[in-house]
Amino acid sequence: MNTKAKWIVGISGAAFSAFILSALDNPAPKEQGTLSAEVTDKMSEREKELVQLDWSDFSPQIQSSGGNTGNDRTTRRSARN
Amino acid sequence: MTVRQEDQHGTNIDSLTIEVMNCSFYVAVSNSEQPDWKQTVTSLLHYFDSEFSRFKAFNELWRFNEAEQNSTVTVSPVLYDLLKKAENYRILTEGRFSPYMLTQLEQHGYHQSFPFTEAVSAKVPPSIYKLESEPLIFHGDGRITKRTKQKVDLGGIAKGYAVEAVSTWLQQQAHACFGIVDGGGDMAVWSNGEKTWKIGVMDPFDEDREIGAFSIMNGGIATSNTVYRSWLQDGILKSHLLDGRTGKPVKSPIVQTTVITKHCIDAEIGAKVCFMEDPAAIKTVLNKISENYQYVLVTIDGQTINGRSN
Repeated sequence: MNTKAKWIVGISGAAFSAFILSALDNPAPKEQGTLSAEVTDKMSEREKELVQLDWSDFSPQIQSSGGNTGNDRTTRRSARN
Repeated sequence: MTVRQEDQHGTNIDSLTIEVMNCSFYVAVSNSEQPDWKQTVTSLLHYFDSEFSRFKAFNELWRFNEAEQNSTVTVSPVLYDLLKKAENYRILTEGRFSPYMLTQLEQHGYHQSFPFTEAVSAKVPPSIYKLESEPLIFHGDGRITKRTKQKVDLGGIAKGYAVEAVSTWLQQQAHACFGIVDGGGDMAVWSNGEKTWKIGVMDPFDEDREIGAFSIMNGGIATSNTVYRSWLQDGILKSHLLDGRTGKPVKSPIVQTTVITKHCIDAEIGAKVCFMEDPAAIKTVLNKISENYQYVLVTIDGQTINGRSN
């Protein structure tokens, strides 16, 4: 029998209900549950590992280099960003 | 603007960029089982912008703020959840974060959305900020009793909440294998392992330069910065960050904080309260919000301090 470990990633279903209300003009569901994803035993150990929280340590940039360093996004916080 | 392209690492992604909530939102996914995901995401973000911005009159937040002290009002499920989360963060951070400082923000000159560099003169000194021990009573059925006379500003927490909502929907309903939601620097990323996101940390003194980077597959990132979000009022430099314990602008050697946690909304609160602690004691306050985190601080003299949870 498969055993399932719940991996809660979501915020409350209220946000999702508003999402639907706004986008599709449907009435909100009565029950406001919690969204969740599952890690099941069908996943490989590698897959299970990957859905866990993961990040590398911050790597300081070499002082002399600047500009675009090939990152996907930057934590830009200027007036319009 | 919508784009289907390969990213810098040759991965095929579909992306959407929209100006909303006073910032630029960038959303990118590997795939979607919801063909109209861009329309849905756009609708959600405009909903948050229209109902929870303090710069717009007659929206739901405005109506809540107009309700009299000690009155009981019924609010939408989203506003109820947002206010409950905000109040919970206030308790968790022992008052450092507070959503009840709209009046103080305006008295310190934050009347308009950015960009602006100078605020109108304070006609009267900022009032003494005093908050009741239980400012809102949540009845569990959509009703809230407003015990406080203070007005609510949901600012950054509403954006973090929106980022998290979009990210969750794209994972759960669109079944995107990997993706990113970036709301002006507040980010949620996820990956099934096919993609590792590389996130650069901006130099607070030169936005065209990065001071470093980290890689992440799943989690939330938020940055707060007092260099760009500051202004002069009566010759005094002020910022958008008020300490909820005093109602006054923070005074800190830190000018930029970046926090990485499991959820974007935790990171958003964490990035704010880092300004309210001595850099050596940052972990004490971040431990109240999340068990797992990493932070990057930049001080006024350009020093970078980084660390993570134990």
